[in-house]
Amino acid sequence: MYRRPRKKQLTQDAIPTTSLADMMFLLLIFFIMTATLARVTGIVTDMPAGSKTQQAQAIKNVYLSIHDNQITVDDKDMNLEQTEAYLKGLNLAKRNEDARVVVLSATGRENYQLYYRMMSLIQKYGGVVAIESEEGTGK
Amino acid sequence: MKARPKHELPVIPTANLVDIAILLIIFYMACSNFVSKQASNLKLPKSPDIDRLNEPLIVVAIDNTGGIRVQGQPVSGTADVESRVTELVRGQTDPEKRRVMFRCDAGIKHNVFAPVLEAIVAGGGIVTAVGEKPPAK
Repeated sequence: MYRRPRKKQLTQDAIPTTSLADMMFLLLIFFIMTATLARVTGIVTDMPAGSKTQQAQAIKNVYLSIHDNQITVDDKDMNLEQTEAYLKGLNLAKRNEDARVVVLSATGRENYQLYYRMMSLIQKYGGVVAIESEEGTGK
Repeated sequence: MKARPKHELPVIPTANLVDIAILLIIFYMACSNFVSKQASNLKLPKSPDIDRLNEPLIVVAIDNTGGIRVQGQPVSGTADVESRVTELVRGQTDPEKRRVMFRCDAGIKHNVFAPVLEAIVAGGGIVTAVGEKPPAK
């Protein structure tokens, strides 16, 4: 007698999860490859607190001011390269703590970009940034 | 002739692999340090003379509208910045824990950011001015 072959069971009881692992690993690889961890770059400036009068007057600090995007260092107008060379030549890193202070002032109109550039240059050559506000109350 | 018994190949159980992968994905998603949303509408200043730093725990930010935030919370003025910084660094002797991340938009004027810097210093914080390195030419 001819026996009809059994029909392959087409319906499955469980949800197929074998490919889920592949998908999960693809996602995982995607996250690992594309994740860019936030890196903080900047400068640490241990600014001296207190007024100018509290500082020793005998020490001649370097004065750097920004007015209308023009840099003036110790009463001399300079561009960015000249300022960098000047600060480098001062050998601030070899000086004692008080003599390393560079007083940084600016008019109220100056934006943070140039100010930040100056702060980073002072820091690079071993100086300590001291903010001088417009009113003259140096910090 | 006696048939040799069939040896089934050992199967590595992979059912739990999915759970591990999901856990790893959740871990990455939860622990990824996404760029801080606090005052994200700011363009950081650029300088080639900066280094990589450890991220300080205290954040003071000034966005492009001049709005000041301490730890993501808007503050009314510099006096508020000083009191919040004082409060946050109180009892901290380790200079590393007194560091305050100062994030400021590059276009902010001196009369806005300078008083904030002064307030941080007056509050006992050590300013860590955050910037970006310009792209290499």
